[in-house]
Amino acid sequence: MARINHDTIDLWQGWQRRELRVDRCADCGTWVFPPRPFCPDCWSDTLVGTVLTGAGRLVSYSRPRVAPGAPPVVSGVVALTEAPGVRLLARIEGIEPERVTLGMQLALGWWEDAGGVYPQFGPVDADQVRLPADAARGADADADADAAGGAGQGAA
Amino acid sequence: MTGRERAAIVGIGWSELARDSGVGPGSLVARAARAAVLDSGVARDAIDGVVGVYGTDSPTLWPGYVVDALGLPDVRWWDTAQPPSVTALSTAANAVLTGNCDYALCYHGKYRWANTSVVGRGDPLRQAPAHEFDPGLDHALVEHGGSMLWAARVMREHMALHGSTREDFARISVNNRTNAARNPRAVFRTPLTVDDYLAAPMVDDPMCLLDMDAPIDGALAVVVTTERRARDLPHPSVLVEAFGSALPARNDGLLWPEADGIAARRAVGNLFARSDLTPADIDLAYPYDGFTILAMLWLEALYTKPGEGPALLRESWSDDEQRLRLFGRIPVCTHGGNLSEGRATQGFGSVIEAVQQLRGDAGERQVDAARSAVITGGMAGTNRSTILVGG
Repeated sequence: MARINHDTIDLWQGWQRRELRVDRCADCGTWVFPPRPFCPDCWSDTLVGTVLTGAGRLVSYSRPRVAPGAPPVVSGVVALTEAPGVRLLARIEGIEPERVTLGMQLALGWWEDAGGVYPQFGPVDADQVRLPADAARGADADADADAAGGAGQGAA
Repeated sequence: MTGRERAAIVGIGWSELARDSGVGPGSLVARAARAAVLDSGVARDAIDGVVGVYGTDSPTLWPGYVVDALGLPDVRWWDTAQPPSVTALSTAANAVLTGNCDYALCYHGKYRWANTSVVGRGDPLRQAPAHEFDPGLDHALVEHGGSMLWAARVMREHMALHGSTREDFARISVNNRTNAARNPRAVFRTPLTVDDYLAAPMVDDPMCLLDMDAPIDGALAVVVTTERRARDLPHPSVLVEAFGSALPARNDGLLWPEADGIAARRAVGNLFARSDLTPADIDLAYPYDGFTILAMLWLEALYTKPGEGPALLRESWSDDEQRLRLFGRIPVCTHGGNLSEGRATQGFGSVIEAVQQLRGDAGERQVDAARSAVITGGMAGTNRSTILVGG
């Protein structure tokens, strides 16, 4: 089992359904991540999980050393376009590491290992080498997210 | 500022710093602490306060152990503090200034522990987070991201936004190693060149092996009392002019690479607001160098606008000496910093070195007429900085 705790299990379980769900304050509209007990802006307890499409922008990245012969890893800080103030640490896939640039627009995908399902991001430009793994599922999620995002907006 | 009573550092001590000391963490701390008390001239039985650095990475030594190991009979105040080590120094200084104790022993130790797991086996959700400062950043939520080395992303952002180059960071690394060649405490003393830096293996591109301190075994300690009591002790007084700190919102470098620069600037502002001195008045600079990018950000916070650190380093670089002299005058990390003394020190080495310099007791490293030092410590989520002056 992945190492998760009482504060993070809801988020983690969303990932296992390939769903990027971020809390938003129903009273003031603030997006809240990492998980917090209440809204850090207005202290309201009313946080509502809201599913996002996962459009993002690359804030910074590094390229950790990997074992000889292993595929390169790009470790990125991604700011979510739909949720100002929310960032994830995730792998950047679907692009040669040399072509990664700060500020590039990114789309959400998912990858899986024995421990679970995790978000990853890749370039949105279709001309890029390949989309992040599981782009098709990402497209399905988009439709759901539009509906959920709309409801979230209404509540705010 | 005039009129305030200040704390004074009256004794310094350290254990051997080594990749493998061959002794346990208690031995290291006890040896450093004994040396500091002996250096201070304070009678062992008069030590009535103990403050230790405890936490982050792994626990170090609880004050109760130190009381027993040194046989301190009458301790009436104890506390712990997180790295960087100036945090513990500030806790000890506050304790003597408020009268909770008269002579505080203050220590820091680090040991290369094997990981252990003790409690909570019955509850699979009772997990320590991957990032110890934030229970919302669990292992599963970040470890898949490829690298927990946040500072590499801070460095990348600085390079992209401000045009800093690997040669700029090399100057910090080479400067410190040049200075370490004259520091018998340092673990890494072989001189380096900029070319050596450029050839070093990447650990997390753009961060290479020579951008980071290495884990070692070791401990360091000081004895702190008030300025008035310090006058009766053998060494020239070294006074704590001021402390400063900042803990801004969004301080976690894992998600906010810009946070370290913001925090450094605020912390320096808060530090110098507590003194009549300005950064340009200071004779010795000890920017925290657990990573070279942190030293860059602290130097910018002290002396330049954001992003102008690389230009400062270029102007301050001496090819002949292979070291920095800011504005042609101020040396940087005269002992070699954490980069050379290793990751046992977490800033405490700068305290020891600054005390030696301000006493005029730094041997072949001695900087002429050094009267003041600034020590900046840590990063956005944990920082504390201080100005020390000769008495």
